[in-house]
Amino acid sequence: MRFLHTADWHLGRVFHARSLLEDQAWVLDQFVALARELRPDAVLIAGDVYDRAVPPPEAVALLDDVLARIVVDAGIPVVMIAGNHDSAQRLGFGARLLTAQGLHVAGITEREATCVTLSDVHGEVRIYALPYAEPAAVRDAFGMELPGHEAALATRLDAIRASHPAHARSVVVAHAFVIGGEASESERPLSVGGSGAVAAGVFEGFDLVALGHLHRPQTFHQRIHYAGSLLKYSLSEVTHAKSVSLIELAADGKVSIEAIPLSPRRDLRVVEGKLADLLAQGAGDAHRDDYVHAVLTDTGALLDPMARLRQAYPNALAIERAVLARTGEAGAAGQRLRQLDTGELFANFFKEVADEELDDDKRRVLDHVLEGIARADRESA
Amino acid sequence: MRPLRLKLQAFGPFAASEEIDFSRLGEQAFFLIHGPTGAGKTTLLDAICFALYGDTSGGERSAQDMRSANADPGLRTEVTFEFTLGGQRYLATRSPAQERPKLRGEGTVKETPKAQLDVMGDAGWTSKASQPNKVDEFVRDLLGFDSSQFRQVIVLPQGRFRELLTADSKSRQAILERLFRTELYRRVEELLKGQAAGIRQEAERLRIEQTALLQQYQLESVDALREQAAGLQAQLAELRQRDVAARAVLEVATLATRQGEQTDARLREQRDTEAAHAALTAQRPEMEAQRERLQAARRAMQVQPFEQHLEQAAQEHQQAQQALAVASARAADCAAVSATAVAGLEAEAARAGERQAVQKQVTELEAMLPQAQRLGVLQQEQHAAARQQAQAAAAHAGAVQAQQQVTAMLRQAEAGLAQAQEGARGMETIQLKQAGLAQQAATLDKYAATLAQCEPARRQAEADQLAAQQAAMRQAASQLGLRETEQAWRAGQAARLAAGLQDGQACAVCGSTAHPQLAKHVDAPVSDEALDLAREAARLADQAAQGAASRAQAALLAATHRQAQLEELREAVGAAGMPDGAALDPVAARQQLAGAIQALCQQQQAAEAAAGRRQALAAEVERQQAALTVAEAAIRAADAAAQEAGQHHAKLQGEWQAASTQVPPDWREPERLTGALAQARRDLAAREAALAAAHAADKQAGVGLAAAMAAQAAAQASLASHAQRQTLAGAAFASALEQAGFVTRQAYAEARMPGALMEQSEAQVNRFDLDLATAGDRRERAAIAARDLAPPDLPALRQSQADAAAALEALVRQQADLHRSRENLLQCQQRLDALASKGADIERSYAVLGRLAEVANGNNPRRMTFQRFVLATLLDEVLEAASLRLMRMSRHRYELQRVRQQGDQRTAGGLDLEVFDHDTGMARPANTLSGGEGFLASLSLALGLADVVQSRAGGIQLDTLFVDEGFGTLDPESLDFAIRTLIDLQQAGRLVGIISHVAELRERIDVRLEIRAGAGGSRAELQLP
Repeated sequence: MRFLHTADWHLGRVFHARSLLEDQAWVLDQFVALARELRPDAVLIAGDVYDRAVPPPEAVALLDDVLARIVVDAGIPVVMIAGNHDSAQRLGFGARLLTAQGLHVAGITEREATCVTLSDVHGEVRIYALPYAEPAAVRDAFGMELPGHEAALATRLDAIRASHPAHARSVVVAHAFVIGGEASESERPLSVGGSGAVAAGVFEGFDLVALGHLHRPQTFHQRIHYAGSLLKYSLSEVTHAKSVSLIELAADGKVSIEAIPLSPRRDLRVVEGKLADLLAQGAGDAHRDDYVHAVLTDTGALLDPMARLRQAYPNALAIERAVLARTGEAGAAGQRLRQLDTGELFANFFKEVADEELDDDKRRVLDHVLEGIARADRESA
Repeated sequence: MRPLRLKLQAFGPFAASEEIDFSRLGEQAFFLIHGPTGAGKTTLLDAICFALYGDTSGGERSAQDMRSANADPGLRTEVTFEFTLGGQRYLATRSPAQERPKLRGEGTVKETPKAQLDVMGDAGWTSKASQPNKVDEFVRDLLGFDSSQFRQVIVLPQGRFRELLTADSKSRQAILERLFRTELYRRVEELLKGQAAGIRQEAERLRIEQTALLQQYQLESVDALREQAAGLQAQLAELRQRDVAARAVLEVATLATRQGEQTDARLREQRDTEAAHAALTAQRPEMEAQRERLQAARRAMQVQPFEQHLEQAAQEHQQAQQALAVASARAADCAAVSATAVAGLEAEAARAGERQAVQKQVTELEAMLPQAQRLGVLQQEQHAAARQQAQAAAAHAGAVQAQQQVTAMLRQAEAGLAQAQEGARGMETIQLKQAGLAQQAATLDKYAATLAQCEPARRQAEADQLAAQQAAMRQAASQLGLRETEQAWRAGQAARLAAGLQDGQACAVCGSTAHPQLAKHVDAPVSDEALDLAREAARLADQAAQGAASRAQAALLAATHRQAQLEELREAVGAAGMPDGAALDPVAARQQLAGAIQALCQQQQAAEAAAGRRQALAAEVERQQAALTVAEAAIRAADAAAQEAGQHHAKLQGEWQAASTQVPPDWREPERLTGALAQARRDLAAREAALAAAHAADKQAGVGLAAAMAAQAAAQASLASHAQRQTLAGAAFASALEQAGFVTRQAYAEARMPGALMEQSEAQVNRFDLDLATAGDRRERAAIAARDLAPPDLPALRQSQADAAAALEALVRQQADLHRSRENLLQCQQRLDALASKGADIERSYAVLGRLAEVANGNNPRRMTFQRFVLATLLDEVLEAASLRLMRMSRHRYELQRVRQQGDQRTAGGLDLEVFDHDTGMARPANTLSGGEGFLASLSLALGLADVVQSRAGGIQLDTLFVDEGFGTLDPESLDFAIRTLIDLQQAGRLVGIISHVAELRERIDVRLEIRAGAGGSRAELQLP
């Protein structure tokens, strides 16, 4: 049986005050085409479909379109869960109505997990959709006290194991942070303060675990897999190669994964150099529409560098001045200040504001004043 | 400061009492205060501010107005806030001024604001401050800032978060100064300023002093002073010349006067000497008479020794006459004494017969003495023998009495012994009786035991009998059952056989192959097993019946045996004297017996005691017998001693009588004899001594008489000699008188003069002679000196001298006046000079200090004070930390920086902020930022400030941050960045509480303090993941 596994679409995401919706629509077209071509038995979307709990209408429209094309037009069933960015209730709206159409959405966490049963020539495959849930929500559903994410997820998986028939192969679609996973800046921590991470061991016994949350594609134990995000959503992901995963689940439950790259409409890049050089370079750049983060190495002052950069790179996001970037200079000055005694400090001050060295007479008078203060302090102490 | 617990009571929307336990947050240091508008989110911050400072977080709502409108009138508005700071726990409690119902009666009373701050010590909470203003002050010192600063760095209040960002240098300085404790630098500034001002004042004082000095001398200026001094100098020089001239005039006048005075003196001398000489000359005749008297006295002095000689001789003659009279009287006395002594001697010599008689008496007494002594000894011995005899008689009587006593005691002991033996003999009888009683008691015990056993045995026998009857009945029943069963089994045998028959097969009983009428079971067939069971049951019943019967037999036997035993024992008891037949009560019998036994025991004890005494009494008898023997022996011995003493006494009496015949009765007492003898001897000695004395007196009187006679003769001779010498002396005196020219002794006597008077008179005469000569001499010399001299006009001379002196004096005075004036001026000049030099010193030090003060206090091109300079450096550090965050939150667009160039020279600068916009490459004022950007910048600044303050040793602790709203102004992405920044913060250990009703945040922050508005006031609930 084959699955097309993707996650972390973050539809409606704003990056450096720019909506990425167009770029997302671009990549999702590729995804729909891929689905039509590969015809997997199911498409698995492992959470963070929207970027925010209350997504912009355009994002909702885009998702509606994409799902319709896959489920209705191509007739491929889709299993989709809510991630930590999604609002479980909102995403889960109409889930039971949609099931009949082949769209299986798991939003709110319930005691009995959403299960989609498919069959191939080797037999049954059960797909369990486990939406992201705060431990408090799991506690409410299961009526037991659960300290932390790992315990909550383990409890949910235990419930599934208890009812899973021995002959069927099992697939879990979930949204979690597996310990050892490589994170990037655009992922929102699952727990504020506490640990949101779970050990890979909680997924013991399941043939395939299709995960969302981490934006870099990565695999644990050949069967626990992050498909990664749709696009580069932060500067820390500049080096990532974004993809979707085609997963083959064999008769014996063996898993083989193939990454199928996606090509974005505008890539995210970091360019470095003097402004003039970058402007020249941009003029001849075929990908000048890319999202560009510019690190300017100019030492002098620059007049309106952003406006000028955008002439070369229309989608320049930000400028970083390597020289101006504070290197702890003021902190060092503060440090120095703390080490100087008051007299020296005054001499510095005098030199700085009056451009005059403190001669011996002045120094003597100042020392006398400082001694007076020290004496007064001693006496009052 | 880190909150632990906040309790609100009737405060704002919280009408009831609401307590929030922040300590439940534990490690979760980032939480959202969430709730609908008006539910009281900000009120929580207000409550914290109110508890600490007595005003609210926004500084807009008045603390008095915070009383909940719909609170129960009895519930006081009060806020309690517990927090930790630097490892200490503090508790602030505060209530505003409020109306509360009277405790009694209608109406309300006004309650004054209250505040209390406690600290947790070893012994629980201890108060640190109690009055609202005291608590304010304490909290200010404790936290390090006041309420408005608290709102800028701990609480970012709703709508006012930009305050710190857009504050001017001055107010920013105030907050930085507190946070970084840089007041030292301000003190340096102020001290410099103060000292510079001091120097300026000193200079001013000097100037005033100079003016006053000049005024004092009525001088226009220092130059006028100099001029005046020079004028005075010239005047002085002129006066000095006049002085010299005046002195010369005075000298001449003085000389003239002196000469006049000399002339006058000489003339006066001449007159004086003349007068003196005349006076002396008048005295001369008197002096001559005195001289003659003196010469007569000298002659009389030559006669005087002869007169003295004559007088001495007459006196000696008179003495010789007296001595002769004395010697004659003495001779007469001695003759009388001698006559008396001779008469005494003769009288003593006549007593020779008396002396012999005494001698004889002595001899007789001496001869009688040994006999008398022998008699004394004998008498003493006789007395001793008589006493011995009396003692022996007394001893005999005592011995007899002792014997009688012993005899009596012996009788008593013998009687006691007899009684004791009687008692001992009774003991055997008692023992026999005891044995009998013991046996009787044993029998009775046995009887009682048997009696006790009898009843159970009987009951057992009855029970067993009953059991045996029942067993027999069951046996009969089972036998009957068995019989019926056997009968039924047998009846069924035919049917059983018939069941096995089949047509054609031979019957085992009859062999017939045809079975026309097969037997059938009438009842249910009885199986073999049932039969066996019935048989077994019957057998068991038999066994049981037999067992029961034998047990019943045995029990009956036992009961009978017990009864027989009982009868036997009863007889035995009866035989021992118990009443026969009647119901025998073993207990009463036993008690009676026990009484008898006890009585016997007592008797036995008495008998034993008597037997014990028997031996002692026998010993006593023996002892008394022995004592009787001793007493009898003693009587015998005493008798013998008495007889012996009587014999001895009689013998001594005989001896004494024999001896007494040789001595007259008067002298038989040796003492009397000895006394008489001593008296006689003394008498004899006295008589002999008197004789010897008479002899001696006679001899001495003879010698004395002879000596007196010789002395009388010598005295007569001496008298004659002295008479002759007196006659000679008279003649010599008469011749001397004649020679000296005295006619009569009367004349001589008149001329005589005492020596001292003579000398005085002579000296007087001599001095007169000398005086007269001297006066004559002086008269001559004075006359020579005064020759040709005219008398001078002295008063005129003296007047002219006085005039000259007065003129000079006036000059000198004038000079002194001028000199003094000049001195004064010079002194003034000196003081002015000193002032001028001091002024120069001050000017020099002001040049240094004034410059320092000026620069330190911001009077410099940069318009920056010393403290601002330090603060600016610190602010740079803060801005660097803030910019790191702001860069992230603003997508690398903005940085905060300090305005380096001061635009307005009139105001102090150095702490103004601006933002650097990376997009435009330009800096611009912070207040040009948009709302959201401004919020981010403010947040960054507050965080940066906290970072730097925290990192400074001894700095104020900024480990808590509350952000009240502001998130609504952010776009989703910025919100992400802001939240991320705050999350980073809480990972650094700081408590971050944000207030918002942005739904997005509620989705994202799992630690929430939910505020719910309700009819009875708002409630707060802390929700943990």
